[in-house]
Amino acid sequence: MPKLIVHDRCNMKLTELHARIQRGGYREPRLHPLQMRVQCGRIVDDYAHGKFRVGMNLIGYRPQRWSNRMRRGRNFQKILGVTALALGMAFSVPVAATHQSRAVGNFDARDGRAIEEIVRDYLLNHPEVILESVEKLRIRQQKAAEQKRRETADAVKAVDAADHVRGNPSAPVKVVEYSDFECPFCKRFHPTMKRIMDEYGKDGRVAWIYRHYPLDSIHAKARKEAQAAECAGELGGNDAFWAFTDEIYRVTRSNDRLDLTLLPRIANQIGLDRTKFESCLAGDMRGGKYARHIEADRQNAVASGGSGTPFTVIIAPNGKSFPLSGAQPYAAVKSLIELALKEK
Amino acid sequence: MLVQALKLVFTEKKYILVALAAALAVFIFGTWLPNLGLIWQIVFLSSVSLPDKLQVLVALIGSIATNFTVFSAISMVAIALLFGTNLAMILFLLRLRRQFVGQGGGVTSVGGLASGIFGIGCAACGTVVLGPLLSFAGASTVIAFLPFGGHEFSILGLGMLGFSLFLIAKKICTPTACAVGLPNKTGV
Repeated sequence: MPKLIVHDRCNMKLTELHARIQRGGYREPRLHPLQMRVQCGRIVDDYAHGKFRVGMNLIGYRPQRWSNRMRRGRNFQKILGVTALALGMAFSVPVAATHQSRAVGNFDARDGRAIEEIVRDYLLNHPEVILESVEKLRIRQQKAAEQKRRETADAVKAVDAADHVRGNPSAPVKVVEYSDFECPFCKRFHPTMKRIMDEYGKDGRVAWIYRHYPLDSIHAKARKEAQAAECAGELGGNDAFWAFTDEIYRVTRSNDRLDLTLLPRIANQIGLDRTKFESCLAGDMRGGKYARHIEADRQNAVASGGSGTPFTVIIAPNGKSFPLSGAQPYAAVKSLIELALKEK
Repeated sequence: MLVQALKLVFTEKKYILVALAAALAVFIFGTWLPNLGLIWQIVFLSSVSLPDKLQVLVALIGSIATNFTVFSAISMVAIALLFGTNLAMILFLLRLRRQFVGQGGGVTSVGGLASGIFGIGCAACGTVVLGPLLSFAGASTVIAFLPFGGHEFSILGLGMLGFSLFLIAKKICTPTACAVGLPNKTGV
């Protein structure tokens, strides 16, 4: 839609101006409002050059030249240019935008239109300002991302003796996975991580840390299964924990469809004492003797930014972390691990 | 009517391109959605080279195969395609009306109409946001209360986009002319 550049008062003044010219004496009209100075000044100039005729439709009309009067007023324009710069920056800084809009609010609608026109001219004459503001925005966003990364990295609990680690515990890259045994996407993600460990775990470059993140509201059995995995770890050590975890993910049909009576059978299958396992597993569905440990894992997942499962945080040797949500494909996890390995 | 409008719009290659580009954008956005924070971080990480950045971004698109249920993946593709079609048809409608109506208020009314119809499509896109987020059990509490595990949003989105498409097709097929007052049954 064509922009209404010149308002009615200017049109009226031009008619008056034309009448004066016809009478033989041209005197520049005294125009105080800002938009008169800018717009009418230009139109007067255009009129003098025969590019504007009185009575023409001003909708969509764009003045072509600067009038002498406007050239003299360059200093004034420079002051307004600073305002333009501030307005330009306001696009990238919401807070600044708020203050600026308050300042603009002190002008009336006509002044506002004139300022808009000046801003436009300024930006056209100094396009580098836009690039400068974009660059500033980029730096600011980079700092914000870095801050967020630091917060995530700080939130992820350091690997300790209570954790279950697959691979070299002092590997340069650590993949901390927060998972739910009854989540279908965790089941899907488990083979992906095993494949990652086949490629990066054997030479000690990556360690996989498994933590519990049971989503109780949709998977009522997940916490009990987490307890069962902890019991397997207690009875058979780290290897038993991982063997039990692999087996649960293999047999479960997800979404609470695993028969919990299978848990002792799985424990027995991986070589654990069934009676001891059942004794360890005794208790309510809240995790029994491992309730506190499981809840601590869950809370740490939430604090680290996890809003669903699987939630994985890849931690680089220099402490940089890459939080990954969902069952992402092997290629995505691999590319992030490659990035992490380069961060030394 | 819908087929007629689709044929009319997609005889021009540029509208096919617009539709495909928009569909691709929505699809990619949908797959990236659970990891926007990570993407943001990677994009602005100065220590990461451009090829490495691109590699991560492209690899994350593969989540359509791993991080979606079959239903949510199909509905995501369908929503993306419908969105692209909607956008192309809106642009076609705007051009069509601009040719006939000319400048001024007519354009405003067409713009209002287009934004109204497009608004329905955009509301539907909210389901693109909800779909992937719900699909990986992110909002577990919400899911617990939904009988179809969050698929309701996808169905709602598809319905809204379909309705929007129907409205645009109807407008495209309606001649841009004043209606002639027909005589009533008595012939008066």
